[in-house]
Amino acid sequence: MTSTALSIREAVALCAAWADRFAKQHGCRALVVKGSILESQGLRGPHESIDVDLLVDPAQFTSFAEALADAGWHAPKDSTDAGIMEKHSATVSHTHWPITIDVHRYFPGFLAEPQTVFETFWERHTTTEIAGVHVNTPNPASHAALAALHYLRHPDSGLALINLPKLIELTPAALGETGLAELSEIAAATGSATILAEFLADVGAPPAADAPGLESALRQWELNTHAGSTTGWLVKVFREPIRRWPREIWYSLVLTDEQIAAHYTMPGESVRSARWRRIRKGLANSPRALAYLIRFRFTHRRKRGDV
Amino acid sequence: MSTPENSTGAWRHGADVARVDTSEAQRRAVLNLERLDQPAVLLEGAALIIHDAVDGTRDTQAIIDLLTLQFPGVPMLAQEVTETLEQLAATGIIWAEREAQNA
Repeated sequence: MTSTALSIREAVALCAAWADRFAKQHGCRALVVKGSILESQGLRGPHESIDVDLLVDPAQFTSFAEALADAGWHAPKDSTDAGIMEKHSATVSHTHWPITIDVHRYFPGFLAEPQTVFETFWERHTTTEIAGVHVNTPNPASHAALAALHYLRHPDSGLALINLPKLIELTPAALGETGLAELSEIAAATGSATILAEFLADVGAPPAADAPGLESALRQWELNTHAGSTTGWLVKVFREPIRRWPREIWYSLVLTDEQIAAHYTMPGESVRSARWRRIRKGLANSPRALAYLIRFRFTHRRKRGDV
Repeated sequence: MSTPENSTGAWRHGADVARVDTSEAQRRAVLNLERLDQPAVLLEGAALIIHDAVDGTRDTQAIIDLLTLQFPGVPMLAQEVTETLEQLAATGIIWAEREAQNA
């Protein structure tokens, strides 16, 4: 009998049950999302997850994160990504577990207020069996919307190119006619109808429309979904006053030794070597990222009739 | 806590335990959801066989008798069964009937 050497498959299933129970014990509304739940709901083929994803009531996110910290779950070193969008999740790990939990306060692509999105999910949530116990999860219609947005976030990635067509293929049978109508209602209620328009059409769901006032958020989404990491850094720099650009550019290029060690060194590689590799790659990508940003801003000004 | 020495009751599986069976590897990962500060436990080999022998009717001696029949000639079998039941009970993955009667 041993408490170590859990396989990733074992750990993901048990940890999902753990996270669900921990949330319930702390009076926090939370839904286990993605992973094997998608498979159980008929929205994905067999798949080995490597972490647990938990969507938490945004109003309870901070207190839940504190409870997790008290229980020994801590964030690894801060990511060095310069996000175009606000951080939507926190990744935490624990010495007892070989995997991490991604605690989400919201999911990118749902452009309505995070609380509105969560309430939309929660009011129709269900339970799914995992590791022999029932955990709170989104219902299949909500989950289909979430999965589609997850793939559409990086539409050119291998993840999207493989999983999105499969999701489109599986969704009609998994949801049925009623579920497809609900999918459209969810898209409209959560501000994802525009982004999901093509997906809704592909799966045979009725058309849906977002409430007005999401244009700015939609622009951010479009920029984010087509941006590489260098574009993210450029956006971060441009958001600063011009006098701070030199400092921001310098920081973006070199980072700290700790950040380089935590996120960029390959096995056996020194921090110095990893830093130079990263700088060369960043500089090589800069012209293309800058061109993309200029093109993006020009296109959107033209759409708004500014030029 | 009921232990094999002081329990005369039948052993039962904990009701609030998550478990993942991996048949090809012949092992079982279990987590007591009533004790979230406790790590998951991996049962392999003898521990898995003894855990499987817990059925809600057998006490310690009955489990020893059953496994002695199934695995004749295994040295120190009674001691291993007793110790393993003790370890499993300590994690709350199994419990003995007497515990419920005392509660």
